[in-house]
Amino acid sequence: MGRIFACDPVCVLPFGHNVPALSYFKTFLSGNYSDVIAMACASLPDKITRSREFVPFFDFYYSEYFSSVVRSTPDRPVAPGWFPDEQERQATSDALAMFDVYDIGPDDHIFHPHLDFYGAVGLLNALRDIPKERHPRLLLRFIGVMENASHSYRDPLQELIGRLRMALQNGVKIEFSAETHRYADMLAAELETTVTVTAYPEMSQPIPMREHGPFVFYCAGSARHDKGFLRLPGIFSAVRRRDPDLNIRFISQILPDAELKNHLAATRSLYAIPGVELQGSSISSEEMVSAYRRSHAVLLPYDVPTYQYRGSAVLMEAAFHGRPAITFEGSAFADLARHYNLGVIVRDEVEMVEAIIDMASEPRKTLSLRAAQARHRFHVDNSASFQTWLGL
Amino acid sequence: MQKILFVDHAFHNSTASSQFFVDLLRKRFEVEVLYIEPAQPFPAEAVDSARAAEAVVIWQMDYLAPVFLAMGLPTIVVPMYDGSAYQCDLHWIWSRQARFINFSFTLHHRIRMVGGDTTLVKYFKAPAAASQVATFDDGLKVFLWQRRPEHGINARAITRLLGSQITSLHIHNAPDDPSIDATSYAPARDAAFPVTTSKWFAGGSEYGKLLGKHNVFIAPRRAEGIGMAMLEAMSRGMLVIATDEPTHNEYIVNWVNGILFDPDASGHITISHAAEIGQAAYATVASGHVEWKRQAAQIANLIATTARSEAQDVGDVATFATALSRAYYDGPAIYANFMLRNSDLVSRMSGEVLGGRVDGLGNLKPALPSIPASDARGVRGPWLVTGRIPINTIQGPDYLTDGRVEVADGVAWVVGHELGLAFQIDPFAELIGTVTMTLIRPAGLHSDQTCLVSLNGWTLGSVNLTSETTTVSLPVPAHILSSDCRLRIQSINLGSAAGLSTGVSAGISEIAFS
Repeated sequence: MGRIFACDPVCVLPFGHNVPALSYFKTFLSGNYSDVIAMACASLPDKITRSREFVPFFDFYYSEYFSSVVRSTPDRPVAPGWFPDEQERQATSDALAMFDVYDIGPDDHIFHPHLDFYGAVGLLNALRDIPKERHPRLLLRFIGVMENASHSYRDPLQELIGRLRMALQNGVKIEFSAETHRYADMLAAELETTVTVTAYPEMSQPIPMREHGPFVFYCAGSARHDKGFLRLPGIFSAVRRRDPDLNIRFISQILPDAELKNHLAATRSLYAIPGVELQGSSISSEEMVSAYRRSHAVLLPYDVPTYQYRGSAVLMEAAFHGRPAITFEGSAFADLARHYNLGVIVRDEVEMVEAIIDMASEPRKTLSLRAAQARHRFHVDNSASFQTWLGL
Repeated sequence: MQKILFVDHAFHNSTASSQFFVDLLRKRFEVEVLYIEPAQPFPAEAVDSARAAEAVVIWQMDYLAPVFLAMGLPTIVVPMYDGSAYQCDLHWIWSRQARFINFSFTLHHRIRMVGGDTTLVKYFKAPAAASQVATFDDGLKVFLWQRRPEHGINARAITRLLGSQITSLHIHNAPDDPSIDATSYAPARDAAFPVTTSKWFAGGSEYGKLLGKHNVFIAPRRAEGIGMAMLEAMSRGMLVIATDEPTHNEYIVNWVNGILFDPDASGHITISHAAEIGQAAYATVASGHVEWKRQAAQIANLIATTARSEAQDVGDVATFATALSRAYYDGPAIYANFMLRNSDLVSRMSGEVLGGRVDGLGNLKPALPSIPASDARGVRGPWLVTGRIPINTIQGPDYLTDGRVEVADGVAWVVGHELGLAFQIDPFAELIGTVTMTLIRPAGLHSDQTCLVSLNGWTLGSVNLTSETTTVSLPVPAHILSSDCRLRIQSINLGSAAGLSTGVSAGISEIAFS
């Protein structure tokens, strides 16, 4: 039983899913390996790194995407030679340092729970300089977020897939998984190997559904355009016309400042709608759980092309909390929602308004029982899938 | 019991629009109310009252916050959107040690983004008793408080908006500017509905009784700090029609619990479900009032826990406050200049390093990721009243877009070569054909002086100042008019004027449109 290195170079923000997910995997994997080392970005605030017992290791490769991150570059030798860009050089330096510092060998596993472009290419570059008999086993999980995060390529995902195919041909031991069925099937065809489906793991517990009072829809993580923020005023207003007595209510977040200043009118119209509670653009996990506690269901009016292959952490989180979802047809996670009966799939905003009215009129006990059954089916399948893939 | 000094604009002594907040404070604090008349020197007794208080609450007059912060007092500011929406970054940065309580979502985020400690609250009156709730069985009975008819919210505009849907129209003629002649805004004599009128009431009950006879309420101003009259109407389940500006559009979702319109652009509208909208307005107030009561209970805690600021030496406090007030009311450029001249003090009080980071209008360079000051209404001048740009207030914050003027003895002297003025007209109600200007030739000119006059980028003509005073009428082509007007006067030579140390190019004693 060797060691496993759970690596997330994008685990850098104090809010969002990366920190709790890396923490979850650290716990989930313990007992199955001789040691579990959770390695995060060196720019993650110290307080979080210490409290979660992460190793602050990776440089931050994505400043062009997250300009607010204050970068803390580790002091280590720089990988020599030519690289297409500086981020790849940094990532390669980090991967070489990891092999060196931890003396990683064939009994070890390197696990990327949220694969990112530079984390992956740095790892593959480092392996080129290491004898094959010293290669660890790689477990790479695609979630459709940061695999594309490079400005140096016309199609970064295809570049990454090409490099992974080359690594496979060179005998590097890699096993893949993806967060959705659709993504897994696409990758399997491209990589010419099997790809396991590993959805968002069970990181949250069921929360009892409130029996009385208004029916509350939560738009968790809604402070983004790709998550349908600009659709919310129209949907909420249409519901309000049908429900003037405020029997249906909503909780949403507002956009971050850089976006808010350009979309003030839309945000202000949300504020004007009676029965809408607005949260800040970034909230703590405690605030999020509190909002789930006050809510009965989630709304996911996500942009379908953006989520063509991607999963939705919010859908999974809602499922584990025992909350049904309403979402649009066409996204990869809509397939998942349909298969496990995690909620209602609609074609457009008009149907979403109808679904909101219908769901709010259902007995809450019925909804709650249905959500519990969906959670059970999903969790059993997903756990088995994770265990098989990780060889537990 | 903690003693609070409540500082408010003298105008609210008659409107009582801040009274609910004073009443709220009196539940927990001993409150002394001090009304400030901005045109007067800052009262010395205000300084004494502040020293005797344990905290100062400033209602609307947010520019005064640095005065009390410099005294080292816990200072709470309640700014109003209609008064402070366009203030520059420095205005808010200077008061960073204050705690803000905001009744406007828009202003809350504006202040938050420049580093202010602000709490957003949403006021609602209690919903009216069932017997007072509006009914819609007898058609649309419209109540119009003609408060700022010169701003385009008047009987003529409302008639255009609603037309024959109106069953009756009541015009409550109580303008903010008592000198306004409302007859030019009256509906046509052959209107197909009865028109009644009233004037300013001594007490609120008569107003309430009259309001209760109607079911449609026209919000009387373009923008509001809170919108008390609108909220009163919503609490009665009336159909409220208001401009699409804060705070109206922070309470009203168009066609859901009210109707938003643009007085400059909206044409005729058809209202098919007035009763449902009125019902939604009532439900809005009913649920909002519950939340407001929760927020109101927290306001006293916010005030009680506001920290003392670090005292600063500003010399005589009343003198400093008077200088600050004058700069503020002299317009944004002069106010920004005052703050820049006091940038060391602003830096000390805000903790912000300003050197080289602020432009001439008091905004940070590069711009903060904040809501631009001109977000909602755009930069527009005041409405043209009685066809004239008033010379005595021409140098104020509203009219002046370019250049600087000094007013002396009824003459506005153009400092430097150029003057830009902004104003608004209602293109439906006012068709301007001529601008008449009386221009004064400065002393000490060694050659002829020619003034080039343009409106909205169109040259109206050039005026030779051959004698000491020249009055000229210039035709204004109809095609250059828009609701948002810019008048520009440019000259080449500089002379002098008595009492002024800077060069001036022309004096203006009248600008009249006909």
